[in-house]
Amino acid sequence: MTLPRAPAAATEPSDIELVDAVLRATPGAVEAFYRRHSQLIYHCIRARADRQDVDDIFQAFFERLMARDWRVLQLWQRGTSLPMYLAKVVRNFTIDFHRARRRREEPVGGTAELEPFAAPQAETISAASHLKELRHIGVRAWAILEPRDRKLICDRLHRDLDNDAIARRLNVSAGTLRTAMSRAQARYLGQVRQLAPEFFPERA
Amino acid sequence: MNARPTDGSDEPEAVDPVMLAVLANRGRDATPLTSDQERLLDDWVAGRLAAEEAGRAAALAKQNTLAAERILERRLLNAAAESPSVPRDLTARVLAASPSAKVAPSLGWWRSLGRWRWPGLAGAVALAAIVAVVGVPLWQQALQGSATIEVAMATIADRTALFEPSDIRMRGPGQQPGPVVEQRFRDVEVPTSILKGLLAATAAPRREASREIEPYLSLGGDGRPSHVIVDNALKAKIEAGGSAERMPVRIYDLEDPRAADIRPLVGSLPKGRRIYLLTLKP
Repeated sequence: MTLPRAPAAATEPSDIELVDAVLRATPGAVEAFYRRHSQLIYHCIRARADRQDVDDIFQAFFERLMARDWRVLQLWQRGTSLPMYLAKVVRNFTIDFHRARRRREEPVGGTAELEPFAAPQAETISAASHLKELRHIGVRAWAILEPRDRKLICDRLHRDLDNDAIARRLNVSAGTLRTAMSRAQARYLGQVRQLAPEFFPERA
Repeated sequence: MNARPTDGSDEPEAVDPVMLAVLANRGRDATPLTSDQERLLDDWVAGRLAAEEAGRAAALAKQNTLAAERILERRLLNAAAESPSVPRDLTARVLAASPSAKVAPSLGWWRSLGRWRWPGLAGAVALAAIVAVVGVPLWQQALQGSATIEVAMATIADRTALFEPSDIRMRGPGQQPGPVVEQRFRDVEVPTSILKGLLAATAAPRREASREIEPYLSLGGDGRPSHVIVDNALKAKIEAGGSAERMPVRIYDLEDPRAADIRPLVGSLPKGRRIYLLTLKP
């Protein structure tokens, strides 16, 4: 797999060493982990939650990590990217947070009231590559587009055709195609951003 | 789900060639990246490349899965770096809840001891001091003698047994082999400095290596010392590796029953040690 070199400088421990230190309860390890990854975790929560909930979710996330003896870090597959893994864990946690809130806001009565007594749901940990997941997101984003945009995106990204070839296929001029392609790509990326906001910088 | 309303959702998304190249990746190639390629991709994500080099980076991102994953990681880290910082009071609240931060208040535990408990406590401290003076050196000696990592080299002539079904990559758009959940090996990326330390240990008379490699071996914790066998093919790759910071390595635990066909390839094995084979990731 790929690259777990996060922003660690040469003198700092690698992500593997840092996670080992946290799991062994080495003094100062939690603080070091927090210093290195809190910004990433905060960003991932901001990307998916309402602003007024971000701080609560962030604090609840760390409380859960500590309450479960950092089990999430035990499940991290060494040799893969820790930031990418954390982004996925945070995403699942944020989704769970919103689901739990929806349950709380449901009317009184019904089987929903029994759910808090059930066993807590384990973190969803998947060995599938992050790229594969993004590809699925790309397909979902593509499926939402208008038929004409879908055709353009398909020709460009999947068939890897250049502008001239696509213009010939569609019987349009090169200038018309350039404009249409640019707009189609912008709409496609807009959908991808909605489905995977962590990978895009925040809009001002 | 996306609970947060997209800010300024009417505004069209700027065309982002980096993300488009990642989305165009078909996952057909996973050749490990060279350090030059890694630099090229990092510069591309940071927007530091001219058009021609950007084209090269885009082609690499479309072809190579590892390149696309590296770009994704960089984008994530860059986006996080540009995002607002965690508020200070929130950081203080989170760290105050961490167990290590709670150690300080417990330092006053001795105040709760009654006067009658002091003689017993003094006796316990004296006993602990005796154990520390006499026992610790003996324990350290035993630990140094048994917990070292031995290293050996092996040349594997017939590599058929090292061929794993999960390494098969199908051409074309057909069904790719799914992820194998239970494998008899682990693929990890190990810092080149640790690997070079292992190779240096094979040349030393006692053939004992630093224990830095241990976290990558996934030790079972049965207390036995480790014996690491380094494949000569991996040695050649490390020596030819140039300035790469890390290197992909495949690790087999030779005590795993599923590795029975690999054991004969590496010659006689020492007894009483946990044995690992470090080889190339194809």
